[in-house]
Amino acid sequence: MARRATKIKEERAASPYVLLLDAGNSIYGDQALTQITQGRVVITAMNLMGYDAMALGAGDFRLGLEVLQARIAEARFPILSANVLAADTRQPFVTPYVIKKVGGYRIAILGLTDVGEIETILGQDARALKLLDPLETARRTVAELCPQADVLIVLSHLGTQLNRQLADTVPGIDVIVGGLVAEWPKEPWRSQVNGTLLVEAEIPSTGYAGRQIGVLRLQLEGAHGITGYTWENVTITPDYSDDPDMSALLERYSTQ
Amino acid sequence: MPRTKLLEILFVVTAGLGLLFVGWAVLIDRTAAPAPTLTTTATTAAPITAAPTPTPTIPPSPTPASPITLTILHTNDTWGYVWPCG
Repeated sequence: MARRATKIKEERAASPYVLLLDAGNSIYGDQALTQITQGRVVITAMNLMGYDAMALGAGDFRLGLEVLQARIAEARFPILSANVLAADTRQPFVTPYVIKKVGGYRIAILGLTDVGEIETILGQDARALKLLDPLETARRTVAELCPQADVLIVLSHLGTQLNRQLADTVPGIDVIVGGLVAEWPKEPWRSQVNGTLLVEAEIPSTGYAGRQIGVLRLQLEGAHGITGYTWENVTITPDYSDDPDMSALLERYSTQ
Repeated sequence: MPRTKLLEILFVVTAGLGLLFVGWAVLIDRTAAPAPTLTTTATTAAPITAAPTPTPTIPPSPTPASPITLTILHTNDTWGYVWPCG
């Protein structure tokens, strides 16, 4: 986290137009501090790094509904999902999408959640939720968002295969930032049907997670939209120094 | 033929013809064309005006913005890792 914070600060110093996004399954894991704080240290750190949005991933539900909702309330950035509803009200469990103004451009960010595992993770508590098909939800919501946005990004924790299907079957999406990655991402994948770009950063494993950050640079040219891009997958190695603010925060949590 | 007999026959025939006429009249009545329906000018009820639905606020298309490079930094599945391991 401390090294990631350094990398993020570097990027923000180099460019005025930066969005920091997470595609989900990042609040909870097997590290002691994260478990002891029930994800609070992660949300606080993501607040400090200035995340702009995050998708809700199935793994985030391992916190349980009550704790997860507490973490969502503590986040100073929207945690998004358009296909998870509260069963009683049929209202979205979290914000479905946001539209941000960046450099004069309207950037819509839509969240999608992998729902297949949620019932297994939550057990009977899953009855409090209504889980919708993500592709159908995307089809409907993208159609609503297109007139309102210059760039449409989907933050999607659906997995590589479903994300590619999403890119091929739902027109209007410019970029999918994906989670639940199947193959080590060497380069962006582009839909031959709709031209949608899919970018992914990391396949985590026990002992190795949170060390990759994707850097996608989009050339936006007014009415012409996206005219070009570059992408690299950056490994946060020890070459990056620890950000002092983040180090201090983690130290505080460690000693509590 | 005696006159009384002749009168009797005349009476029967007349009665029979009378009955036939009555029967025919009844038959005609039952097969008569239905009475024309009265045409009235229906008063059209005023349509129920639905409550005005709020027009969704969709921002107008902006004038094309100047070219920019938008940098998207993205992470996924970081599992809440705060320390690197190893």
